[in-house]
Parts: sequence; structure tokens; C-alpha cells
Amino acid sequence: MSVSFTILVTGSPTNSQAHLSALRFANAVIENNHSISSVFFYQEAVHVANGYIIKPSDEAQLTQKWATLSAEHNVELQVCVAAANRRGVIDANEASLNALEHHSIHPAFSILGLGQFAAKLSEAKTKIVQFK
Amino acid sequence: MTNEQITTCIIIKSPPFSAIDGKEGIDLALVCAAFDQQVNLIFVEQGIFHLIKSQDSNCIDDKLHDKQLNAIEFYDIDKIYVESESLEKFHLTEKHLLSHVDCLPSSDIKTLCHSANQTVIF
Repeated sequence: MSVSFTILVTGSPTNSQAHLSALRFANAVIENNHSISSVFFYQEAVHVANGYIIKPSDEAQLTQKWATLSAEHNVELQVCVAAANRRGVIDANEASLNALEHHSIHPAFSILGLGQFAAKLSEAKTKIVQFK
Repeated sequence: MTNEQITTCIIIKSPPFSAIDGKEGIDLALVCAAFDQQVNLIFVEQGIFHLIKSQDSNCIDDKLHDKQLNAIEFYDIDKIYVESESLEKFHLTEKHLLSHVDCLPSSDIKTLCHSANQTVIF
């Protein structure tokens, strides 16, 4: 039977193994013919959605890895608005609301409310797996 | 399956001032309650310091969220649980904590989490 998973990532992309583990898990889910309902980034994990991250080219490009997963398997990458705003990961709408010149979110990610994730929990149709 | 049957355990194990985890965990608990889930908000390890009463925000130059914890019953979170082993470890008792908390041994907390639909840890 095919299982649907919702992946919750709360660990930092620079100070935890959360993203590497979550990406491995996500790929294993897909390879085994299960599905990913969505990936939700909360807490320090939202930093990975910053489009201005520049890492040495021989290191794991986490933002790009998530973007590739999303594009190849049609998985939505959702970032919590409150967590993202307080960490400077903002979309064009938020930038204009706050009269800021630039936005910083990578185009593969979308900003959503915590309510969106809570609604997913309420459905109880998918298994939640947290990486922190 | 209706929303009423969904139970979510939110475990807070991070301390209140050195990390934002607790605040963000409580935020998630409040939103889940707003979506009519049965929320068990559980404090363990250094997370129990969130519940110490009479904390003074003048000492930290930032906002405290104990007011939010005091108001939690208005958000339909009926129960706040504290692991009694964690209290013992820090030589605290129920009388040091906000009034509306229930102390449980870790075995009971384990049972709570096992019977919930999902558990998220902060």
C-alpha cells in the first residue's frame, strides 16, 4: 500500500543534519513508490529558502537539492511565514508591505501560514515525519 | 474522520531564553488548537522552565511569553503536562509552576504520545 508523507523540517541547514537526512528520506519515499504530500519548513529550517545563500561549490547545495526534488517530483516546498519573516526570508509581497527594496526567498519555495501545516495535521491522511 | 478525533502532542524540551524553539512550539500548539485538534502540550527536560511563575521580563530585555501560557485555556488547549522526573532533576515542585499544569511520570507521557495521531518536538 502506498503511504503519503508530510515532511516537517525544523533543523538548521548550517547547524544540523536535518536537511541532508530529510532529502535522503524524501528520495527514498519516492523511489519506493510512496508519495510526499508536501514539505514544510519551520524554525531554523526556513533559512534554506534564502535565495542569497552562497556556499563553496564542493559542498552540498541544500537549497538547490530541495528545488530539484520539488521540480522533478512536483513536491510543494512550504515555508512558515512567521518563522521566515523573523529570519529575513521574505517574498516580494512581504517586501512591498514593509517598504523593503528586495525580497530574499528562492523561487522554488512558497510562503504559507502555520495554519496550512495545522490543517495538514487535521486531515490525518498523511504521516508526519519531523527532521530537527 | 472528523477533526475532533485528531490528537497532536507538542513536546517542548528547549529552555525558554536561550532558544526560540519553545515559543515556536507553543505557536504551533495554539494554531493546532484553533484547527480543533486535541492538543497535549508537554514540557520536559529544560522545557519546564517555561512554566516557572513570576518571571521578570526586565531581566532579559525582551518579551516573555508566560502571558501566552497563562491564557492557553482560552485557546482550547485543555491540558499542559509536565514530566515529573524533569521537575525532580531540577529540584522543583508543582508549587513553582503556573497553576494549570498536570505533572505526570514519563511512562504516562509516553502513553499520551503513543495514543496521539502525531507528535512534534521542539
